[in-house]
Amino acid sequence: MKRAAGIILPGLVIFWSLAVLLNHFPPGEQEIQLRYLAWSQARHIPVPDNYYREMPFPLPIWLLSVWPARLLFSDTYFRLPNLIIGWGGLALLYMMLKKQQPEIALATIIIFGITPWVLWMIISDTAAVLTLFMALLITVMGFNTKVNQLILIAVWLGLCLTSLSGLVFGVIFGIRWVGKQKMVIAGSLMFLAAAGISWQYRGYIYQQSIFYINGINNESISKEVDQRVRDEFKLDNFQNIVPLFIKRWVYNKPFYWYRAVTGQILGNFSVEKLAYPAESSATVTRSLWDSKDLPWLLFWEVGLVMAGGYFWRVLKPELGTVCGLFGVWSFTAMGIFGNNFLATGIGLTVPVAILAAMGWRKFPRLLKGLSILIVIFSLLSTYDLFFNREMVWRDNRPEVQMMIAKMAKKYQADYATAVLGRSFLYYAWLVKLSPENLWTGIADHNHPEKTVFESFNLKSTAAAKGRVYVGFPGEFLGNRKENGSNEFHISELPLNWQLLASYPIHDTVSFGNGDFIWTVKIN
Amino acid sequence: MKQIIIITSIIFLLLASFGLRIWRIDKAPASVNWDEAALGYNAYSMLLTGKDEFAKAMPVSLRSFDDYKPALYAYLAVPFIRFIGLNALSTRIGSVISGVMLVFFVVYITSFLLGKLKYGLLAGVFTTVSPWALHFSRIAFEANLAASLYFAGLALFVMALRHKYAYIGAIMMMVLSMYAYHAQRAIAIPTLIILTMLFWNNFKDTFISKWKIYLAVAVIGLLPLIYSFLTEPAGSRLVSTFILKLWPFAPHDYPLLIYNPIYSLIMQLAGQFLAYFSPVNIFLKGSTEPILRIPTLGLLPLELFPLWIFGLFRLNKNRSLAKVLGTVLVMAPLPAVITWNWFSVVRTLALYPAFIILAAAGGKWLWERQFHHSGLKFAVGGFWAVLFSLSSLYTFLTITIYAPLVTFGDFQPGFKETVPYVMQESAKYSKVVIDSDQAAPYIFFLFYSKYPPALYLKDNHVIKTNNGTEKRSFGKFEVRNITRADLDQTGILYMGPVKSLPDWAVTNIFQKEGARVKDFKDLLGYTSYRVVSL
Repeated sequence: MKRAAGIILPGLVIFWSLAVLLNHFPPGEQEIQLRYLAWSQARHIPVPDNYYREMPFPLPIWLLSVWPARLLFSDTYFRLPNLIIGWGGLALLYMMLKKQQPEIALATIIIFGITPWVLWMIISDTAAVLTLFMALLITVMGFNTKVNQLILIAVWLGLCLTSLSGLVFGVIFGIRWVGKQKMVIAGSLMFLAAAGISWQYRGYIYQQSIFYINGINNESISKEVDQRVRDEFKLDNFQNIVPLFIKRWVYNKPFYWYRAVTGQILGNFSVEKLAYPAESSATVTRSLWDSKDLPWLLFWEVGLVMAGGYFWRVLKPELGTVCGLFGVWSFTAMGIFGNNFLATGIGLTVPVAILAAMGWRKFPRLLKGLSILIVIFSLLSTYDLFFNREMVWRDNRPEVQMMIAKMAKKYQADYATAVLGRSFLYYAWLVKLSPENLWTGIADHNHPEKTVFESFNLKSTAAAKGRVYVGFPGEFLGNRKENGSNEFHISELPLNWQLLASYPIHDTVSFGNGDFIWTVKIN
Repeated sequence: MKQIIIITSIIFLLLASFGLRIWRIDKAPASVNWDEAALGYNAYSMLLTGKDEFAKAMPVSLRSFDDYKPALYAYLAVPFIRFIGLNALSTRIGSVISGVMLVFFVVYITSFLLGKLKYGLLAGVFTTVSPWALHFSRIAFEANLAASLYFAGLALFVMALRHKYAYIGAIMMMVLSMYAYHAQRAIAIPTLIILTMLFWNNFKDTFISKWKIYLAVAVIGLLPLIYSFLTEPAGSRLVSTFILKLWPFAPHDYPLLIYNPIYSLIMQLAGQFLAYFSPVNIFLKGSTEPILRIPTLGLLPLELFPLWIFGLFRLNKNRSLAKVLGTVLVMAPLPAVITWNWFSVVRTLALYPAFIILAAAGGKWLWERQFHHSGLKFAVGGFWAVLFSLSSLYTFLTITIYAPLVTFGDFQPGFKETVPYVMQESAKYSKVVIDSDQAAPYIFFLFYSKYPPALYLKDNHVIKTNNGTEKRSFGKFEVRNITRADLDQTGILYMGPVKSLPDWAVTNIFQKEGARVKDFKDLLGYTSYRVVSL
């Protein structure tokens, strides 16, 4: 029975992940960008600086650059490298657990593998999955006292060059293992390398930090303190009921900094954010499935994690160390870097899966039997969301941008909108444009082939005869945001403008510009 | 000597609690809200006539806005209204005293379960300065009184572990808490039963010999409540907020075979339960609902977060603590979990003192076990204490001084300033018309005018429905919308928002006719009410 489960359950994980891979979820803008950077790297083609600046960590690019371009730009298999790295990570995790605590090894990778968000992150975010893989690899190596220190340093360096989150893990790992194994020289090298890499990426690091993203800086804090003092002074008829010198103990910049930073860090500890994304800002219940995110944890996993936490001491010390290390890493990374906090904290998936497996193991048999029904329903409903209701949990920009690119290609458009971002990347993806042509076209005013990708306003600038435009209704008829309207009708188009195609958007992405993509020819 | 120090410390703590809760209580929150006004006026009515605003003598529940508020709070307000008069202070002081007593009960329970008074005092300090405790003790909340009585019951239960006679007190307090707030009706007796079962070895002998007495006390205590449930729609609140109203939970175009309603219900219940343990909700967000929200603050101080986490994971190390707190942690969220509110602070007020005790337990563990170097221990402890003290000062300033600027709108502003003026002017007029955008303006008028309950009852005791928005009249006062036709009348005193007594009417009608117009401004300088003497 156990043997059968050992084959069937991992098979289930592989089946699910393959099903996701083959489901043709359109790529995100960054996924295309990363693949073009990798292709350019492989062919030594120069890339505009800003494209590297946005993705400064080179390992994901290096890694993808060794894959054949045909695979990287395949409509079906372009995410295969991610999946292989993800499977590698799962195998590493399984090996580590099998050695340390075999009774929870299988349950851990099953829980890990069936959680939809984790699966999606593995499939869609190369940097995140590579970071996780490298972190697991170096942890496994760290447990092995016979490992060659130079190889360890090389892997460690690779980890630091994978992502911001990887850099954070690198620093934490360095501190932890240097102290443990008295690797003074290796530790010093690690420290110097980490310092060097951090210095190299300082601008990017600052831009990704919670301070930058949330506008927390000396000036904003000063304003907040000033405003508070003024408000209270005014409120109390221009006097200070509590003497100002007492108020100053807390109405000062250091204290407000402390509150702001603590608040940001604590903001990550949210059951709603992790398991009930639709409820993350609700007081009165909204629909549980009305969300723009997949749950990071299935709701019953939260209970299992709590139960696992309760039985923390049953974990083998090494495994406890791994959980602690990955936990500290994730919360530190999420605490410092606010952008896409869940991807930043992908390391948390490891202790969470281990604790959930431990919780499951400690569950009474009767409860296990009853819970299996809940598990089945949760899998059915979340996978229905996953495969049938993409627009419920995923931003619709990739789908809309792909449609813009398809229309531009089909109708040989002269102009296509750039309201949603770099739709020309989607165009390049669609026509499999070579990197040379892409970067040259971008340098030539986002003009990869015939089509110019830029926002237009045909209400204020004259439309050229014979030209084909792809864009939002608002770009043809004028934006209506100021009128508080998002409604447009084809009949409003001038008589000599011919609507070639219209595509309805499921959810508003461009306020005031209408919920359609139109292709219009000017006769 | 030791006893003197103990008593002095506790007295000092309780005095500090009282001081923090009573200071500027009539200014922060800026005015009474409609529930407070209803509690206050019903208490006033009971004091002077022996009946509530619907002429019901000795009510168990106050019908009020057809929400059937438990009446215990109003009864407790009666003596204060007798001696201080009907105002914000006399209406709220019952909550202040409940808050102070809660500090005492937390000190007692923590000292007993953690074995040292110093940790009890620590928990007392946490309760004294916690944002939720401070906020809810400064507003006339039945929930605050109920939480205090619930913890009195718990304290007596804990006491009964050593002194069996206290058990009967625990029953009485738990029963009493059920007269204070809806939530306790669901959890007070089950809590006591579960605790008794968990500590069965301690109570077996006494229970077997005295169970008839215990049962009699509980049944006799509950009789008025049972009678009330049978004769009044006292459960209407639960019916209107019940979670099954969301059935079948999934949107209509989702297949119910996959999004099974029973599964969805379990998911919903689990989520709503877990929401009460979500650190963001506890330490950062708190409630976002009007009246319950505390600007810029969560429910507990940020600094308690690490202690709370340690306390939670070390709970199994102290069996008695685990049994008592475990029971409260499971029971206290239940009244809220079965409603459609995702996160309702007011229904779960009994949970937060338990969190504080948990934090004190975490603090004990950290202090006693985690630092082997005493210098480091005092350095970390000192640093933490400084941060906590500063945070407490921030909390105090926020709640007592700053909050009204943000929350004044939650407390239906304007009546406090306007009604006394209207009453003073009303002597010259045969009719006074009161209009308001706020719900239940009549209760604010009654409250701030101290309108004689006997006169009010004469005209209004037969009202069929009362959700607060209905028209009504008492004496020469009419509560209704002011219409365009009213503006051409003379000999009438009007009180209303600018929307009903607009600027153009001031210029074109009132000023030409020599009417007196007086505007009352809110904290942001906008006109909350306009009084026009035509």
